[in-house]
Amino acid sequence: MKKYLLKRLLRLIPVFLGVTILAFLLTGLSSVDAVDLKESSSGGVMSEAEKEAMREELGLNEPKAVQYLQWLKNALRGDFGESYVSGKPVLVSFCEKLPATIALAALALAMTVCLSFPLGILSAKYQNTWADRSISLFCFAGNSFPGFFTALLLLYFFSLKWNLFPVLSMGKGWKSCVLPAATLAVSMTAKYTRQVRSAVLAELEQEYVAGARARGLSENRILFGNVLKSVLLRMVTLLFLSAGSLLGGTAIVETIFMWNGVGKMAVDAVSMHDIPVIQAYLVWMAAIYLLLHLIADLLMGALDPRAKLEGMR
Amino acid sequence: MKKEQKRKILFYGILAGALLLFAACAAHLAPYDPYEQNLELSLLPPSAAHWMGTDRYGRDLFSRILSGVRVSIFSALLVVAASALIGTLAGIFSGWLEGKTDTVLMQISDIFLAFPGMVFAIAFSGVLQSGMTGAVVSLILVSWPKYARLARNRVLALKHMPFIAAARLTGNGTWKMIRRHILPNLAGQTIVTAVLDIGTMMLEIAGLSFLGLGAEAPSAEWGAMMSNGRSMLQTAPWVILAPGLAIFLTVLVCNLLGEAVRKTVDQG
Repeated sequence: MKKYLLKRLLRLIPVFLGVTILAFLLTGLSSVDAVDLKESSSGGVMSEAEKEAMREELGLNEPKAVQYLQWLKNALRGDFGESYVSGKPVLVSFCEKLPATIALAALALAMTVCLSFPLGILSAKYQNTWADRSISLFCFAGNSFPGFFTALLLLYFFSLKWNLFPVLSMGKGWKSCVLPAATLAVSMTAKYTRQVRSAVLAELEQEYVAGARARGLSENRILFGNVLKSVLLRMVTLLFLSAGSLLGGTAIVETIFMWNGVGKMAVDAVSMHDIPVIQAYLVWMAAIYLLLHLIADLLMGALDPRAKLEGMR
Repeated sequence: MKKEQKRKILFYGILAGALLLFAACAAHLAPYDPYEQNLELSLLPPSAAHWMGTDRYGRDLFSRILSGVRVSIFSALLVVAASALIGTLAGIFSGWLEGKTDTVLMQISDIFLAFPGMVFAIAFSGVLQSGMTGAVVSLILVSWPKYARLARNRVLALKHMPFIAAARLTGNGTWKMIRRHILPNLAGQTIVTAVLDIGTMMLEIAGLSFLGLGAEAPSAEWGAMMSNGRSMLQTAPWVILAPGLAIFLTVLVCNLLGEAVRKTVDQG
C-alpha cells in the first residue's frame, strides 16, 4: 500500500508542474498590462519612469522562463503575489473565501446523498416499473437542465413568489445557503442516482444474492443486509469523484446568489483581469481536485486490488 | 429490441435534424428581426403578436430564440468535432507508438484533466477575452483528453490481437492498418462519447455566455440572453423562461439521441 501511494504521488508531480505552467502561461495571454492595471486601480497617475521601475520590481522585464521559475518558487511557498486590484495577498483572500465554497459544496453533497441513495435504491429494487421509469425521467431531465436556469427558477419561486428564502445569500444565516446548495444538488442528484442504481443492480446479479435467495432470505434483508453493505464503499468512492467536479461547478451558482466563495472570486477576477487571483484559483482548484481523485483511487484500490495493480504499471 | 432501438434513433435523429433545419433557416422563419429594437414594445408579455413576449429593448423573443439555435448548436458541434478529432488522433499516435510519445502525450492530457468542471474554461476564456472564440477554444482544450484516453486504450488493446499481426504479415503499411483495422474498431465508442458530449458542451457554452465569457451583448445566444434578463426576473419572467426552456429542450433532444445511440452500440 505504501509503495502504491508513493508511486501515485510521484506521478502527480509532473501533472502538477504542468498545471502551474499552464496557469503561468495565462499571464502571457492577457492583453492588459499589469502595471497599467495597478495604476488604474490605485487611482494615482504614474510617470513612465515610475512604471518602468515597477516593471523592473515585479520582474516583468525578465525572460518568461525566469519569471516562471521565480513565480513557481514563491507559489510553492504559498505566495501567489498580490491582487492587482485589491492589493491584498492572493492566498489570504483565497483562504478567506474557501470555507464558504466548501460549506456550499458540503451541503449540496449532503442533499445529494439524502436524495439519490433512496431514489437509486428504489429505482434498482423496482427495476422497469413506473417508479423506476419516472426516476429515470427525472434524472434525464436534470442532466439536461442548465444550472443557472435551475438557480433562477428556484429564486423566482422560493424567494420572489413565496418569500421563503433570501434573494442574496451572504450573512443571512443558514437559510441563505439552501437555494445555492439546492441548485448544485439538483444536477448532481440527477447524475448520482443513476450511478447508485447501476451499482445496486450490478451487485444484485452477483451469485451470492442468488444463493441468499435460495436460502429463503427476504428480498429486503438481502438488499439492506448484504447488497448495500458491499455497494457502500463504491458509492463513497464515486462521491469523492463527484465532489471534485462539484467544486468546479460552483462559479455560476456563487455568482447568481452572490455567495462570497472562490468561484465568485474567480469570476470577478476574470472580469477585472486580476491575473494573480486567477492563477491561484487554477492551481488550487487543480490541487484539491487531484487530491480528491487520489483519495478515490486509494479507496478503489482498497476495494479491488486489481485496480491497484493497474495503477502500478 | 433491436428494432425498437433503431426506431428510437430514427425518432430522435429526426428531432435533432429538425433543430438543425431550424438553425439553418432561422432567418426566414423568424417573424421579426431579432436585433431590431423598439422601446415602445419593451417587456411585453407573451401574446399573439409576440409568442414569447419581448425583452427590455422591445426585441421579439421568439425571433431571438430562433436565431439563437444556430449559435448554440453550431458552437457545440464545433467543440465536439474538434476535440474528438484532435483527441482521437493523439490517442492513436500515443497507443500505436507507445514508449516516450505515449508518456508525454498522456502526461499532457493528464494536465488538462486536472482541472475540475468549468474552472479552466472560465480562467482561459476570461483571460483571452475574445468572446465565443475563446469559449470554444477553451472547451476544446478541456475535452480532447477524454477522446485521447479512449482511443489510446482501445489501440493498446487491439494492437496485440492476432488479426493485426496477420494484417502486418500480409504486408500492410502502418497507415493502412490504422485506417482499415483500428479506426473501424474505435469508431463506435468514439461516436457514442461524442454524441453524448454535444448536450454537455451546449450547457457549458451557455454557462460561459451566462458569465459573460462567451457570446457578447447584442448576440442572441441563449445563455447571454438569460444573463441580461436576470434583473427582470420578478417583473418579466418570460425573458428568462424562453431561453431557459430553449436550452433545456435542445440539450434534452441531444441527450436522448446520445442515449439511444449508446444503447444500440452497446448491444451491437
